Amino acid sequence: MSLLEVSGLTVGVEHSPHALLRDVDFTVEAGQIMGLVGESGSGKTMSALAIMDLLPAGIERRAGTVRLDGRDLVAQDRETVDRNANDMTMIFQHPRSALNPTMRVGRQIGRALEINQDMGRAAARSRATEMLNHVGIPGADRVARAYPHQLSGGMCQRVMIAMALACRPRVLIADEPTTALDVTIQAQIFDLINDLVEETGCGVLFITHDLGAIAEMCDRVTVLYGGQVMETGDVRQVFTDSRHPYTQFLFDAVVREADPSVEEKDVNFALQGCRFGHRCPYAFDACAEFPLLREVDTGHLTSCFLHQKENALGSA
Amino acid sequence: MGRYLGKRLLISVATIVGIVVIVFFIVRVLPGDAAIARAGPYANEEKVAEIRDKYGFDDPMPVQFVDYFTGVFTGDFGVSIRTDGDVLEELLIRLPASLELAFYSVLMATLVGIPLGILAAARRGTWIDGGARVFAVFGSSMALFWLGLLLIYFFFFRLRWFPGPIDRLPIGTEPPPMITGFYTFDAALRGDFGLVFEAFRYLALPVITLGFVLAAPILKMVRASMIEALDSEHVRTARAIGVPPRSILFRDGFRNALLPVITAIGIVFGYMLGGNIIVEFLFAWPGVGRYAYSAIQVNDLEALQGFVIMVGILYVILNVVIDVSYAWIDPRIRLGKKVSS
Repeated sequence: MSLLEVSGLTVGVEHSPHALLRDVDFTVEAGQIMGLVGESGSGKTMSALAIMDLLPAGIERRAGTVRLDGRDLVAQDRETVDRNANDMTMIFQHPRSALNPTMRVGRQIGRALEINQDMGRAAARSRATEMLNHVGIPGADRVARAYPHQLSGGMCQRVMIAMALACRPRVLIADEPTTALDVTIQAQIFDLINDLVEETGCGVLFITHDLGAIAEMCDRVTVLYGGQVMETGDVRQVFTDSRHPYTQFLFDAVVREADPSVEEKDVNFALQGCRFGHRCPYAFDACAEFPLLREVDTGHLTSCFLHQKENALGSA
Repeated sequence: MGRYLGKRLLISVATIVGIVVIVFFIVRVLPGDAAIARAGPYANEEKVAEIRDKYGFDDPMPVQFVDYFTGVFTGDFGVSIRTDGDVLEELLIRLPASLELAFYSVLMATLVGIPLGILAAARRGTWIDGGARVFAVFGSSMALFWLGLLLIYFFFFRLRWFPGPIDRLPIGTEPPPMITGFYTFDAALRGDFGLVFEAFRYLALPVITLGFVLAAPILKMVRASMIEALDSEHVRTARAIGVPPRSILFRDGFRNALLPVITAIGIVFGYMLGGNIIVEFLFAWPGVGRYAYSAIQVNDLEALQGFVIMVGILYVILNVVIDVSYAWIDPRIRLGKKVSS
């Protein structure tokens, strides 16, 4: 049983028949980092917000289950959420705007401690300073008394990580934690997340559009396009033996140049079939149906009829 | 913080000088002739000329300006041609009545507007939100004088729940000794709660009139800025770390929505300082607004000037208070950048 198991997650805009996320499945194992990769608008952040039940107004979760250790976090009525920050918490892309501008950062961490670790106010205050120290902030005493606007972006992200740590989560979702930061800081933030996994054994869902970061950080990876999971598996499997035409196209675009046989078109959420179908050079009539994930190798799944056809041919 | 305040005060002084200069010219382009108005319908040419001479209306414009300008900054606002009284003195006697009315009206508007705005934002899209918006539209499209008349008609003339629109206390009642100038405060300080009650009875209708109309912009601003705050990324973070909803609503939501709300209250208060002429006239409230109204009727330029300058100065003071409260509320204004490690 996986630590976090997302299955059939479907999300859409209210009063619109189209789905922004369709049948999204993936799992996060304890002590491992699962990468979630895709271009802008592919539904990475939307998936995270849907799992956390933090979807913005006007966007609704239509179907799917989120299980933590087999426990369904969303009750059947899809209204009440049986989750607290001890189970799962999240760090965000823009660390400075993700912090409350009118609250001292030490207090913000302290508040997370009070809520999630049953600490008193005084104990939480001194523990918050310790945690700032722990995430590598020198002069933690002074920084604890600062407001977010007085800190650099990198410092704010460390504060966010300290807050997430204070929740002692079993699953941490990191939504492009270094996109807004410069490259030298990026390595330090990655180290912090790696340390966190080693120390606490938590599972991480690591969202990025940077394939290099995936290769560096993750054990497994899930590729999203247009709200559909294209491929999921070990990083090595997906990187060296990609099975979905989209994944192949994506890697090609990074190392060489974009395959000219793939048409440049916007994501079409109205498509009933494969979300890559209208661009895919290999598309055939079956692609008008929605492809579910099928295993192509141990732990390596892809949502493409091409391989199901080949397999069928192979076994025949 | 000290520098911020110093700069702010310097700007204020410049603003007041500007107001004084502009007021002088505006008042002088008003139509009508003060001397004729003062002399009355049966006066002859000589009488009018005599009045012109007495009040200096015939002096060249630059001379008038210098007289006026030096006067204002030495506390001499001139003499009212309507009452022959010292303008500054007459204004200061009437100011507490206006301020008391303004204070309770803004208080009522705030006490109605803020909770309703928070509720509407927290229950966005429900019937509560709908009701609050209907209330806001109703309030902002209601004419003050019409609402005032309706209240007088029903609650005084028909029902007799409240006293008629005359003055601040029943005729013949001795006002409490002047301490703050607010009858409700002064009477309470003296321990005369019967008088406090009477003062409130007389305040009720004009305060409801103004409070109802002024609650609308406050409600709209609270709702809008609450929604913005509640949709912000830091509120999302607070939810992610498990902060309880009530705490999110107030500590993360309302606390961060305060700045525009304070601005809205300030604007409303500023509007009260000059804009309650109608209500003071309607309820025969002995404040500066009614004084200005009477001054306009007879081209009493000095009195009108005095009124406008006083409102201008109060407005500038109000703005300084608002700016200082910004700094107090928002650490981004109060504290500079960078705590380096």
